[in-house]
Amino acid sequence: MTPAPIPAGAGVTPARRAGRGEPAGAVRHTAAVSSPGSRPAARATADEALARVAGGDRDAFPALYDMLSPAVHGTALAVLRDPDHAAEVTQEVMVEIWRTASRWDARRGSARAWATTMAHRRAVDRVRSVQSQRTRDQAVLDGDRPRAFDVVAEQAESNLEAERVRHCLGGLTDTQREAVVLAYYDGRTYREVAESLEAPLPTVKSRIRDGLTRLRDCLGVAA
Amino acid sequence: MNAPATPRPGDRRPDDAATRELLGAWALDALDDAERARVDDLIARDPEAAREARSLRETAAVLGEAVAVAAPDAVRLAVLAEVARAPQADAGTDAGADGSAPVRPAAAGPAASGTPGAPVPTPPAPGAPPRADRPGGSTRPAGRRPARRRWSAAVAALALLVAIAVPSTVAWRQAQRAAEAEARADRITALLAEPGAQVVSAPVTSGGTAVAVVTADAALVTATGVDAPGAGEVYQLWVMRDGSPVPDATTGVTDGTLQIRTDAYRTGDALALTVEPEGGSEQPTSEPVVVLAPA
Repeated sequence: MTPAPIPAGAGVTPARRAGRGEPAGAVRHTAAVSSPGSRPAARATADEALARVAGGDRDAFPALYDMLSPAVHGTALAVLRDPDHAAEVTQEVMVEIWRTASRWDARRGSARAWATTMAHRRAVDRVRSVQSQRTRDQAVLDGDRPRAFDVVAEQAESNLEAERVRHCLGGLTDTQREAVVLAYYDGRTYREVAESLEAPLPTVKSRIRDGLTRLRDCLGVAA
Repeated sequence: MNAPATPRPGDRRPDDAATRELLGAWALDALDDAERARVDDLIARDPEAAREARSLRETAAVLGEAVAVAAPDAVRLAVLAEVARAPQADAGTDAGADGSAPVRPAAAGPAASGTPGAPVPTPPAPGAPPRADRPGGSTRPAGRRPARRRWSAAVAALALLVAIAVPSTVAWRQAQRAAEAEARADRITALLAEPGAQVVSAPVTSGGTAVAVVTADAALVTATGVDAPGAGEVYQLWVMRDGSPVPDATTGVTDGTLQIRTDAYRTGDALALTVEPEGGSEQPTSEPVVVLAPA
């Protein structure tokens, strides 16, 4: 009943699932993220699969699940830092993707952006509601250091995108990087980011936008 | 802040420049609701801002992808089972300005995922393992019809199994129970992935449901909602071969759930469970509480 506590400052605590024994036949569900150089193809495949699912094709769903769920789960886990909450969010989001697939509009974004956006939003909603009960902020003010990307990504399965993000984050100013990482991976509002960095609001707003823009250009994300 | 309900492309507002400054935070879900509404409104009116918004969202998606972690197998099982039963929403329903407004999932009806004991029709025990429709399998251009049949059948089995393997989403929050559910689900998915895996289920006479996943040379019996055996008693599995019971492993019951695997099973055998004195028996000393006979 009571949600498991989310460790506020304890860094990343959940056990590594990736290290678990490989169940026979459980073809690891990371094909979409683990094959170097296949990013555009994988992305197109996810878009295609989502389009099929949007057309009511149940057969296309397992493949879509396997393509999207690692990013969905990883996003939720990064923000929530709790495997049980993350599993719930993943389950909700993946079922929601099935239910509302026909609302996805390829012109407004890729399948994976749609999925991770949903996952991030859900995780953030959850963290903020838990936060309001627990005043997680207090822990933050009491000396919780912002996590670096490498700490967040500690339990991620190594993939091409992690390498690219690591590289491109290195091209941001320290203050931009801190603001982007705090906002996305910790699910903080920019106001909270400003508080925790003791920086003025407009400054933080710009840091986030400029940092994200620089990241976009470095990653070669098409507009 | 309070934009008219129907923003039109080309409309301008005095604070547009300030709103546009929020796009980065918008893409990272770092705004409060009022601010988000302002940005959504801007995006609906201003194609330039919409383009920037889209590219920043895609960038945020890469941040998500960069920390990708495979979800637990039990989640996959639960999602596939729910998808097998959940209807899709109409495209017509409004989806919010960016097409990604999270919509709370409608309660998944009476057959909500993982409800223990949810009535699920007994599947026809088809021969196809659900893992057959991996990426590649399902994109094979010619194989659509067989793939569809295979998944539909497999899905019925999955729907049944998830009720057995994954008690409810509440379990995610209880580490021990979640770990057990996960382990059960792992064993089931592993065996289901074997060629020729079949699923058969039957009610347990004393209450609950038993499901067996069988292959040519192994069987995994999982039962839920079953009574704990009496003091000094256990459940014992029997492999029924040519009408005679061959004694197999024994087990207790945890949380109304039991699971036993045997490698003594061979195609053509049936399976039975009885209640026996601790340590098990050479011959059954009571009537079976369930008999599972694969087709």
